[in-house]
Amino acid sequence: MAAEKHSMSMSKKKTIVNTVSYIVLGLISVIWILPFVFLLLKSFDIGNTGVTKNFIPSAWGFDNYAYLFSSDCNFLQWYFNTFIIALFVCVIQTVMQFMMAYTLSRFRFKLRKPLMNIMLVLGMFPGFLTMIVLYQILKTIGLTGDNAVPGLILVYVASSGMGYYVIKGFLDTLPKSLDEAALVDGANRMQIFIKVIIPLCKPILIYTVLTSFMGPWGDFVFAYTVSLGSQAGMNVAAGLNSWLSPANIGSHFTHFCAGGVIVAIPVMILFLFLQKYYVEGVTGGAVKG
Amino acid sequence: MARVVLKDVKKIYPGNVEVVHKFNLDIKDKEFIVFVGPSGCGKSTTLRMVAGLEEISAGTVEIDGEVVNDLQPKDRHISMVFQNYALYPHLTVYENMAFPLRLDKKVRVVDGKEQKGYTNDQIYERVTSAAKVLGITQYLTRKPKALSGGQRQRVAIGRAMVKDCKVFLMDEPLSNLDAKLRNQMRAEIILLRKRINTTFIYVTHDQTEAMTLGDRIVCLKDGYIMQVGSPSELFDMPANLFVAQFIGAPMMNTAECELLKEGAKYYVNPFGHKLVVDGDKAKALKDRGIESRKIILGVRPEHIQLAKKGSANSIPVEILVNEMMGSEYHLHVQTEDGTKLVVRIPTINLSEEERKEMVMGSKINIVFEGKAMHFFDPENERNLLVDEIYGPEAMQLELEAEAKAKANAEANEVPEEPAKEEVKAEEPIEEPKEDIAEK
Repeated sequence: MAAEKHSMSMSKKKTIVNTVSYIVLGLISVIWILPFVFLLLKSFDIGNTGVTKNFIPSAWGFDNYAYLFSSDCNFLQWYFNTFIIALFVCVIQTVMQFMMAYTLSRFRFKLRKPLMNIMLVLGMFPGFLTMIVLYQILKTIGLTGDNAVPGLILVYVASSGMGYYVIKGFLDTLPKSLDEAALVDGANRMQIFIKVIIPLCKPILIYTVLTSFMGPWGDFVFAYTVSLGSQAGMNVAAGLNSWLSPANIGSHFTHFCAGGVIVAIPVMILFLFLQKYYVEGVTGGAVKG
Repeated sequence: MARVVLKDVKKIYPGNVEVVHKFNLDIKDKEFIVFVGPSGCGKSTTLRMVAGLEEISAGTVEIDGEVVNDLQPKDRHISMVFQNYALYPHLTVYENMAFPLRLDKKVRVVDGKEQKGYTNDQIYERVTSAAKVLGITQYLTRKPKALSGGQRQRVAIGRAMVKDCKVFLMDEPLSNLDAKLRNQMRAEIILLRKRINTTFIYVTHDQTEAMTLGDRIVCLKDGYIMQVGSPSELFDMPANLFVAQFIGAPMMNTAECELLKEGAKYYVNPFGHKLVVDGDKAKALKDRGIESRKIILGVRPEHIQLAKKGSANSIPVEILVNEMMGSEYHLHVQTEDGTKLVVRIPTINLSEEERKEMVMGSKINIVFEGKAMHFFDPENERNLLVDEIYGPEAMQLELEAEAKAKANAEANEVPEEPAKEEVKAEEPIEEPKEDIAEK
């Protein structure tokens, strides 16, 4: 009897704890998701293009989206700029990070430890500390304003080797004897890297591709500084921001919301497409286990 | 198919840690050589230096007459099987085995035609025939993770088999398998060896594997060669106490005692008993003119028998622990003076009554013959009946010889006579060096 009583009180306790947890979590979710819902709803609001207090649009329609793709709007230009930047950075950064991680994971050379320490310390400084200097350098070589796209690619790619940590952590878990077996089988280092290591790194490769695409895709601070008001050089974040200036906000706020929704689409597609690889582990059966 | 010669090979890790000291070994063509020793003895490091996975700090490694020190592993014509299989998890068994063939882009003449690498048909033929030999044909389409440990190791061996190699290296290939499978695979490696018929270097810490597989065994300790010889040489005539205790299971019993020469006869006096040394061992002692001295007496557990109470040379002991192994008892016993021994007694010859006696605390009598005795020098632990010197001592002698030779060369410029004397003095010391290289 006593045991039964005890178990009943245990399950009751559990129910209470669960209920409270779910209420708290639910509240947090609502707070988190509300801005997105507001953005989405606003993008369909054709009653008023400025900032309004009503949550539900007074009139529904696709006019805001139509405006983005019309010829008197620079949105497509910004979007294209962002896409080019993100694509280049994604490819170059992934390659560089993998090569860096493989080198630091597999080779032993004299300055390996100092190099890793230096990068760790450098990585602790926020990137925008160097913004003014970078701007000056880019200006000197003519990669600001209208030419901001290559300039931005350069900025994002330049320090990409420093983001090797996560990949190195993953590579360190792959047995070294795989490399050695491949060496004996007749592969050179490049072949080992491409034919053995990369296929085993699928989950971490996906992660790297995603993060290195997302970084420049959503960046505002650097893009804003380097493009410096040039419509041709802006990325989508800097461009959309220009619609929020006091002069524009009244006529462009709903356009801004529609633009925000469109910006989110490729990232969502990318993530949906890659996530099934993301969770899939592929190292089973390499060595004893 | 190739001779492998290691000359004065050293491995020095950063911080001046020398883990392999002047390793000299001549491996004959098609020989199956086993490196055996406890962990940290440098056996794997030496193998990896032959493979090219570890840099050679000093000395040379020759494969088929060519010094390979600076060659990449792929250019050394070797195949290797790793302890943890090292299969490529993203490839099927077939692709795992085809991997070395696909990478091989050497130009070779096939049917009178020059050809770069292998064609798909040739790869198919090689892989399937290797799979057939190893009995893994039905698994060719599977990924490694869908295989058991034994099957994975077969695939690893298969991958090493498919390409033409001069030396087949195996780094503890059976250590990850369970005991039953290990026995089975050991037998298969013996068969495989007959089929492949090439030079094998096999590394293991398991003396049973070493004994059953090797044509010759190289027993290592702390980076020194402790003995090189056939399995029976190592078992019957261990050069030193280390080899004596490493080879054979359970390990050899030892007792410090005296060797007594009385007239023409030799005696030993372990555990307060005076035992006569007879047979070949007595003759060998006599031939060497060995006088009375302190020794460490060694007797293998399997060479000790049960004796009747009061019979000649019998030693009364008390059983401390009895391990029943099925076919035999491993008795841990204690003599009257407190020395602990291990005795292996086959159960098949024991009567029911005798078996009942084999319990903890009961007193029995044991006996061993003169031919089962091994005599070691308590100071340098060398076998009194073996001439070859191994281990740190051999290297010391070698270094001294080298120093003398160097001094000689310098002295050659001054008057000749003293130099000649030194050459004479050097000769007997050179002997051990040759033993290591040739034996």
